Amino acid sequence: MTLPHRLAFGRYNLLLEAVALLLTSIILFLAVWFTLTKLNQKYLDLRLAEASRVHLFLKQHLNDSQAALASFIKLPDAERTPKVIALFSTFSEIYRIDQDLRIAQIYKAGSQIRTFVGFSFATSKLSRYLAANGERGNFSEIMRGYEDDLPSIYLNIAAGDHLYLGRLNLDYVQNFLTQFSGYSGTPVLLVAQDGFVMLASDPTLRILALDLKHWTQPPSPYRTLTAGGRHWIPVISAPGVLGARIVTLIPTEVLDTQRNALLFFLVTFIGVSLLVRVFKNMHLNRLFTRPIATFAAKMRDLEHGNAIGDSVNINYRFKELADIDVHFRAMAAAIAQREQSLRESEQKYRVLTENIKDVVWTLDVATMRFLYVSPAVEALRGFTADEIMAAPVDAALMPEMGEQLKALVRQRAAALLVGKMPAEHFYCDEIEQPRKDGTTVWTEVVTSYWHNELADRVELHGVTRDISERKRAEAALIVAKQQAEAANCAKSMFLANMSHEIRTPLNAILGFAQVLARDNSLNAIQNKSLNTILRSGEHLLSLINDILDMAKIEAGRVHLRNAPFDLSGLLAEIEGLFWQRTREHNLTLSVETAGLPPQVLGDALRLRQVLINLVGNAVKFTLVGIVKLRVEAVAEGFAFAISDTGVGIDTSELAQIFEPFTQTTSGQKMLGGTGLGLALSHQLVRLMGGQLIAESIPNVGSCFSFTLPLTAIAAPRQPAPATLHPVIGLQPQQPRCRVLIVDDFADNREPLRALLESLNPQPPVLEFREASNGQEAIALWEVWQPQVIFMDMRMPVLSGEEATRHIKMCMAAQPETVRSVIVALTASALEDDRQHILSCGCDEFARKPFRAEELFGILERLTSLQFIRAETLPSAPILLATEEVIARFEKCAVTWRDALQQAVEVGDFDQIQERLKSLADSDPVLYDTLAHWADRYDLDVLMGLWAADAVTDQS
Amino acid sequence: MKKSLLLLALLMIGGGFTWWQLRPAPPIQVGMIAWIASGAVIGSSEIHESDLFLEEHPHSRIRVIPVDDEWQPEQTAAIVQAALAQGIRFFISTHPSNCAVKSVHLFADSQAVLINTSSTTPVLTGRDDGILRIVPDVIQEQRAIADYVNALPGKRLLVLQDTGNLAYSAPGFAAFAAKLSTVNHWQLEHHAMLMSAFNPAQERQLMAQPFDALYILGGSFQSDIGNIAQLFHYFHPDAPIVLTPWARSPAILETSGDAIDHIILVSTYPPREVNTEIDHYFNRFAARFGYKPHAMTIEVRQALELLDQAFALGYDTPQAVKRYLLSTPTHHTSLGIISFDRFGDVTRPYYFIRDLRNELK
Repeated sequence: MTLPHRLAFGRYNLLLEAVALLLTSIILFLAVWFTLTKLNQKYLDLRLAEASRVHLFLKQHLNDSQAALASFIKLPDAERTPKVIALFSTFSEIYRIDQDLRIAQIYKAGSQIRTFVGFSFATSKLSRYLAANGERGNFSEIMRGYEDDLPSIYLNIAAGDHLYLGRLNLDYVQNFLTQFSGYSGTPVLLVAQDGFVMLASDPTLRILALDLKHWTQPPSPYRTLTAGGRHWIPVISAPGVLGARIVTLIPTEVLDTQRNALLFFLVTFIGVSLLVRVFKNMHLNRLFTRPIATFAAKMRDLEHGNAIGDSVNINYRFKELADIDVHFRAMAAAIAQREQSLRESEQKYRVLTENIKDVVWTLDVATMRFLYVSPAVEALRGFTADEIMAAPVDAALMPEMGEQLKALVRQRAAALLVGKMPAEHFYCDEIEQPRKDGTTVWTEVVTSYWHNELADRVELHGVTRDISERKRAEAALIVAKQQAEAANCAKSMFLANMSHEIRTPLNAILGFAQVLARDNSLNAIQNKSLNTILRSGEHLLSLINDILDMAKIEAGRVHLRNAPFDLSGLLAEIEGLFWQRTREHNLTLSVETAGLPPQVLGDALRLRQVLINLVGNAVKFTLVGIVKLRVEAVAEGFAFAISDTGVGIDTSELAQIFEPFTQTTSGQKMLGGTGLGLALSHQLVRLMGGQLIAESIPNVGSCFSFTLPLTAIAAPRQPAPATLHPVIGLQPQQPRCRVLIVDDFADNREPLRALLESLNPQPPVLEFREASNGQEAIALWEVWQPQVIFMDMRMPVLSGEEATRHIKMCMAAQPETVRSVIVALTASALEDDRQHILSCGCDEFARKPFRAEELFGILERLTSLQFIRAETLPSAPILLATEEVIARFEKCAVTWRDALQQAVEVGDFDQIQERLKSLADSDPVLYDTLAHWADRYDLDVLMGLWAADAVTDQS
Repeated sequence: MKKSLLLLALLMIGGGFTWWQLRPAPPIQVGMIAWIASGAVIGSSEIHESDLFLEEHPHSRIRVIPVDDEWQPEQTAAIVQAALAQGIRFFISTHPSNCAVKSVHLFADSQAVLINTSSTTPVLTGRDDGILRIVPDVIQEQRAIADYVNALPGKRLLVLQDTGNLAYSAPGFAAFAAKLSTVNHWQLEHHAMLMSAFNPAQERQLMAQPFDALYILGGSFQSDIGNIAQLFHYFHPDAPIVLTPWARSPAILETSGDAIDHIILVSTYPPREVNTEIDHYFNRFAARFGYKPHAMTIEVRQALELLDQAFALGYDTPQAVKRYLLSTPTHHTSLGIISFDRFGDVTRPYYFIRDLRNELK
C-alpha cells in the first residue's frame, strides 16, 4: 500500500505556527485597519467641520459688503466723490444699472476692465440674478467677472428706479483663505457650482476644476487627487451662501504616516513573532522531534527484523520519551516472541493446507484475484497454484457461470459488510470447474467471507473438494428414485384398476346378495348361505379398500377432509361397534374421555378407520382382561391411547409392526388379517399430523397411542342421527317413476334392477329400462324421459360423464322435459373422482358395489318416491358369553370339535360353516354364537375355544 | 493522483488559453493636448468630454492623458515631445493654429497620430504626415465668410484681426480680403489688435466711426469678443457683427448682451434647433458637469469616436490607425459624418447662425 506523502512533525508544527501567526496578523491587521479607518474618518470629519467656518466668515464678509453698498446708495450724488468712493474698498466695481440691464453709470472701476457704460448684462448669467434678486439684495453666485474674467461676486440692490450693482473685491477673501490655509496647514479652495475653482489658498497647485459629481461620496483616504506632485484627500463642504463649496485638501502624508507607523509595528510584530517561533521550533525539534525520529528509525529496524540497538547512551530530556523508549523495547521483545509463535503457527497451517487433498484458497473479492491457492489444485484441475493465481478468477469457472458466480460472491460480501450475514457463516456450493485438459470436475466449495479491516478488503476463504464420485452416486440415486416413483405410480394405477375390476364383479355378487336378502321366502339355511356371501363380499371389499388406501397413501393421493365432527359421538359409535364383540369375548371395553369439546375439526372418517382398526386389534389379541380406549385433550391437540391386556408384542417385532403385510408371531398364530391394518393406521395417523407409537410387553399387554392436532370447536353438540329402519318396499299408489339403469355390464344392471323391482308394489310404481352405454342412455332419455337414471361412469361408446353432461345440457335447454335425477354409480375408489363426477352434472354419487340402503336413501332424498320402512330394527342374534360358549362347546362331541379345530386352525371358513351347520338343530343358540363369530372371520375368538383347554391342561 | 494532476494541469492550460483569448484588450493612451488649467471652460470642457465619452463607452480602450500646453506656442513642442517620450502615440488637440505649427514636425514621420480639432492654419493643409484635421482650413473658412459678408448690405466694414494667433488670423484675413475684393462693394477698415487685451476706452474712438458691419476675426477662444461686439453694438445698434467659428461658445455669447441679436456666427455645424444630436449632446454634457461647454467639444467627441472605432477594429498602431481613417471614405460619428481626403484634411459646409439666443438655451 502506498502511503500518502507526509510532512515531518517539525515542519508541520512550523507550518501550524506560521498559519497561527498569519491568522493573528490578519486579525491584527484588520483591527489596525479598522482603527485607522475610524481615526481617519474622524479626522476628516473634523476637517470638514472646519471648512464650515470658512462659510461663516464668508457670510459675515458678505453681510458687511451688503451694508456697505446700502450705505453707498444712501449717499447723495454730491457726496460720491472719488475719495469717498475709494473708501468702499469692499467693492472693486460699483455700477448703476438701467432697466434694460445696461450699465448706466460706473461709480468705481478697475483700470483694466472690459465693461463700459452701455455694456449689457442681458444675455449673461447675471441677468437672471439681476432680474430675480434686485429687491432682496442677495449675492450672485461666484462666477467669472465680465470685467476681467476673474472670480467675482456681484451684489445688486434696488433703489428707486435704479439698480446698483457692486462687484466684490475678493482680495480680502483670498487673503482669508490663504491665512486659514496657513493656520490649518491644508490648502483650501472655493469651488463654484459648476466645479470651477474660483479661489485657492495655494494657486500653485493649479487645481482649476473639480468634477463635483465624482466627489459626492464622503471623503476617504482611498479617494485622492494629485496636484503639485502630492496626493490630496478633497474634503468638500455642503454649498454655502453663494452656492459655492469649500474644499479642504488634506495631504495624504499625515494619514500615510499613521498608516506606515502601524504597518511598521505590524511587520515588526510579525517578524519578531516569526523569529521566536522558528527558534522555539528548532529547540523543540532538537529535544522532541529528533528523538521521535530516532524511534521511527528503530521501528524501521524492528520492521525489517534488525536489532534495535541499545539506549544506554541516549540522554532523553523528557521523562515521557524515556518511558516510550522503555516500553518500546518491551514491545519489541514481545513482538519478537509473537513473531516466533506466528511463524510456527504459519508453518503448521502451511503444512496442513499444502498436504491435504482439498484445495485451500483465498480470494480478494474486490479484484477477483486469488491471494493464495494451495498446491492441491494441480491434482484437482491440472493447473499449478501459480497459474491459478496469475489468472483472473474467471479462469477457474465455467464460462457460462463466471459472471453469475462473481455476482453471487459480491452479493454475499455485501451481506457481510452490512451485517446481514455473520462472519462465521459458511456457504456450501457445488460448482463444476474446468480442468486444464479440457474436461470438467464437480467440486464442493465451502466458503466463508472475512472483512480484512487491515487491508480494507473482503476476503473469500474457501476449501474446494472433488465430489465427482458423489455426483455420480447422486445421479444414479436420482435415476433410481425416478424409476421407483414410476414403479410406485404404476403400482398405484394397477391397484386402482384392480380395485375397479374387482369391484365390478363384486357389485354383482353383493347386489344380488342384497336382493336375495330381501327375499322372505328363503329358509334358514339359505339365509345363512346368503349371509355368508354378503359377509365374504363385505370382507373382500374391506380388503380391497385397505389395499387401495395403502396404495393411495403411497401415491400421495389421500386427501383428508377437514370438517367439524363430534368426537364424543365417534367414540360412542366405536364403543357401540365393539360392545357386542367384547361381551362375546368376555372382555371389558372401557372408553375414557377427558376434556373433550363438543366438536373438533378433522377427518372423522379416517379417525374412525384408525380407531376401529386399533380397537379391533386390541379385542382380537386380548383373551382376558380389558380393552381401554382413552382420549383426552392435551396441549398439542387430543391424545388417543388404545391399551389392552392381551398377548403383547415381542420387543424385536415392535419395529416391523407398521410395515405393510407384516404380521407378528402372535398375529400369525391367530391366522387372521392381512397385515395391512397397522400399516394403514400408522400412515393415516401420520397424514393427520400425528405419530402412532406402539408399546408392548409380551403377555402383559400393548398400548397404541397417538396425538392428533385436532382443533376444538365450541359448537353445540349435534344430536346423534336417528337410526333409520330398513326399507321394505314402496308405498303403493304413487305416481309412476321411470328408472333408467345404464351400465355396460348386464351383471351390474341386473342386480340393481332386481333390488328395485323387489320394492315394487302392485300395481308397480317403478318402470325400468336399461342401456349399455351413454349413447343409448341419451337416446332413451329423449324418448322415454326417465325420472331417475343410475349412470355408470366408465362405459364404451360414450362414457357416463359425457352422457350426463349432454342430458343435463338438454334439460337446461328444454324446460318442458323431465327433471331427471342422475345417480352416478362407479367402481372407482378414488375420492378425487367423486368431485369430478358431481361437477359434470350428476346429482349424487354411489360406489360399486352399491349398498341398498344407500341407494334407497338417495332416491328418498332426491325423488318424490315414498318408501315403506320396517317397524323395528332387525334383531341381533342372541349370543352367548364366552364362558357359556366354552361350557356348551365342551359338551359337543370330541370328534366334531377336533374337526372344527382343524378347520379353524387352517382358517377354512367354508369347513367351519359346514361343521357348524350340524349344531343348528341341536344347540341353535350355540350355533348362532359360533356362526356369528365365523361370519365375522373372527378366528381369534374361535381359537379361544381351545385356548381354554390349553389353560386347563396346563393347570 | 496522477490523473487528477493531469486533469488539473489541463484545466489550468484550458483556463489560461481561454483567458488569453477573452482577456480585455490593453488600454491605449490618448494624449489630450489642450489648455487644461485655463480655469475656464477651455481645457475643462475637453477633459470632461473625455470623461463623458468613457462613461458612455465603458469598454473603450482609450485612456485619456491630459497634455497641457496652455496654448502657449513656445511650450507646445516640448510638452508634446515629453508625451511622445512617455509612449503616447495618439493625440487629440484643441490648441490654436500658432501652437499647432510649432509641433507639426513631431508628426511628420507618422510615428504618432494627432487628430486636430481646432487649428485651421493652412500650414497643416495638404501634408502627408500624422496630423489629421477634422475642421476645414482657414482659407475655406474665410472665403465662405467673405462670400457671406459680400451678400450683406452696407459700405463700410470694420475688420478686427486678432494678433494673438497670427498663424490663423493672418492667412485668414488675407483670404477674406482677397475673396471680399472679388465683389468690391465694401470699404474695408482693417484694424489689428490683441483681443485678449481689449480695452474699451482705447477702442471707443474706432468703434464710434460710421460702419455698416463688423467682422471680428478672432483667432482664439476668448470672451473679450463678446465685449468687443457689445461696444460696436453700442455705437451701431443695427449693424451686423460677424464672428468666426471660434466664437461658438456660451461664454462669449453670454457676454455679448443685446448685440447677440445682430451677431452672425459662422459654424461648421448647423444650429442646435436643426441638429438634434448636437443639441442632445450639449444637454447631456451640461447635465453631467453643470456648465455649457465650448463648441470644440463636438470635434473632440468626434475625434474620440474615430480613434475608438479604429481601436475596436484592432488597429492600435499609428500607421494602422491613420491607414484606417484615411482609407475609409466616410466615418459615422454620433455627431455627424467625417470624410478625410488623402492628406487627412476635411471639407465642410458652413452655417451662418443668427438665432444665437437659441444657442444659449
